[in-house]
Amino acid sequence: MFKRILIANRGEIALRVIRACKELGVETVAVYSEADENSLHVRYADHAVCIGPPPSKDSYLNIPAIISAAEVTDAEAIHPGYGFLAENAHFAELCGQCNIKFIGPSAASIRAMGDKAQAIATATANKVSTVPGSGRILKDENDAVEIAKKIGLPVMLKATAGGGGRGMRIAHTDLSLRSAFKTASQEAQACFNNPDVYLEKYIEEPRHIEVQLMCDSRHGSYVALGERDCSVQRRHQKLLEESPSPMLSEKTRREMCAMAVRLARAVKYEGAGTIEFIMDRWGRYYFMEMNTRVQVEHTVTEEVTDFDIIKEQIRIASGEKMSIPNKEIKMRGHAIECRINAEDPDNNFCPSPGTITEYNVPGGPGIRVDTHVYKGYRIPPNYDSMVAKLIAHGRDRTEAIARMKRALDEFVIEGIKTTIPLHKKILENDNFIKNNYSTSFIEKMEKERSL
Amino acid sequence: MAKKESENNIKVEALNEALKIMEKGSLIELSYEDTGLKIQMKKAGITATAPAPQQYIAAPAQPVQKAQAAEPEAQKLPVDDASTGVIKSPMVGTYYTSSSPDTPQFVKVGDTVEPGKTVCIIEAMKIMNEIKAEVKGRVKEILVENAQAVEYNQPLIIVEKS
Repeated sequence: MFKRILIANRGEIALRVIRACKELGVETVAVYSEADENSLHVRYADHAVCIGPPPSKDSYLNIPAIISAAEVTDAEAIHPGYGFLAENAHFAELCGQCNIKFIGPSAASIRAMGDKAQAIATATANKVSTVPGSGRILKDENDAVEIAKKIGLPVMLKATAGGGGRGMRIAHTDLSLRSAFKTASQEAQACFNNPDVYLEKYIEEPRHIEVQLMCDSRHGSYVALGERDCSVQRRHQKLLEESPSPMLSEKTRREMCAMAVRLARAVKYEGAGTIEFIMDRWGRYYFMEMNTRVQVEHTVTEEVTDFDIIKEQIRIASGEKMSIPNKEIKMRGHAIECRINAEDPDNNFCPSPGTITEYNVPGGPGIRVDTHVYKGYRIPPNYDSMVAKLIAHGRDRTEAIARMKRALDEFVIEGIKTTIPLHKKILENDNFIKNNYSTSFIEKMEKERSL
Repeated sequence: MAKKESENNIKVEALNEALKIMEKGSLIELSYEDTGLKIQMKKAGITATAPAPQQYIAAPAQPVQKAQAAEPEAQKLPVDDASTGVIKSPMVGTYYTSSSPDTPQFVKVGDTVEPGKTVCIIEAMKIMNEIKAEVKGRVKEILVENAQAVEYNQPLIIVEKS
């Protein structure tokens, strides 16, 4: 086991990692920017090093500063948390070169699965279903129509050099596909100087379901810790996650978990990772991408499986065997997480930094709060707006929802605006309660409100 | 009777040992409990609280923010003003007073500096970075020691501006 670990992150995840280290008897080194001088993770750690001014690029993304901090404090390993440098293959590589263990997968794994096209190719090669598509650039509109016939309408045209929704068109008929091909190519040429487009099946009303993996490649053990449903999103940002997914039958769950494990084994993945699937309204699912890091919502899986994902990450990285058995893991009860952000839901989710004047954390059975804020804490404007993660666990989904509603009522945060009112609305929403929702849920709910 | 007396003698001896340790070292509170005997000892003048997370790089002029134990007042950070310039570390690394063990120090207290003059080296990831003064004046105080680990913005050298 490591003697000392440096946590290359901030906020609630830095605190989470420090807690796991304390339980394992490992010393901790916190790094912080000048804006985070009074942050809780700095106070909890055994040692702390200021690494730069507030901007992320000069601090939490400042590779030389972080490695230097590990060297001067004799940290044997670095836990990157999520975001920042967590999926930076170059950083992972550099750690290895400097004789510091990067707590996560190898640089090669990060590269292999981080490249979307390569990840999809690996998935296909391992009999993991991917979104049907042309698999190549389209020659002309006739080509598009022929391929659309094979995979079935509706389809989405995407610019190969594209991003930000540009050069994308959805077509529901052959006729609209022909005109869409023309306009998509023209837009792609104008925006990216490259008119090439390819085609994918358009998944309507998708649900976002991901499988949590814990991989101890050194000991040949790859385990799926069940799945999470993360379909409640706003502008592709997750707001609420739950486990297990109320969408899945036991059979589908087994299939998806088996696919995820197969993929991890194929790339000899080490540590924690997540395989993301997209599921259509008929229950057909397709591989989307892999996240080669621990995620914000790992907490939900911890609550239904009773495993400590962060501690297992550290164990695996230190060469120890993970304590998760290499067999099918049963999930216990139901868990929901609400991401409480410092944003104003009544003002287009405008960020609301400032000082927290009142802070009362909910409690009681089945309630867990992962947070780095406290009364008197000033939220710096330089980083993400997450204030707390509120997790409710119950024997079933009904109890989890009831506990979450109670906890949201108990949660007092004053001095800033938060998304708590929005979460209350979600949990009272009929469609959510009846499990009748997809990634368009928030959009629909907002439309209903404005009527 | 004699047995009880010798038992008590052993306890008193043990307590004396504990007292010695307390006086010498960092032990601030001791609780001892046994049949018929309960003793609590507290070192005078110090509030015993949960061990305070100490800043690893203990530069004397750092504000003592994290210590929860009673440090009477926070130590003052040297500041830049009309008469004083503070040379701070622009990076995390190890401070060196000279370019190698057998070359003389870049600056000593009393030396004059001007903009561009190398005052020290900060080593980070095997790269030696020369730190240069940005003000003109006389070195008043050097706050760090050779081979000491330093963090971003840590005050290194105080210059009396001329």
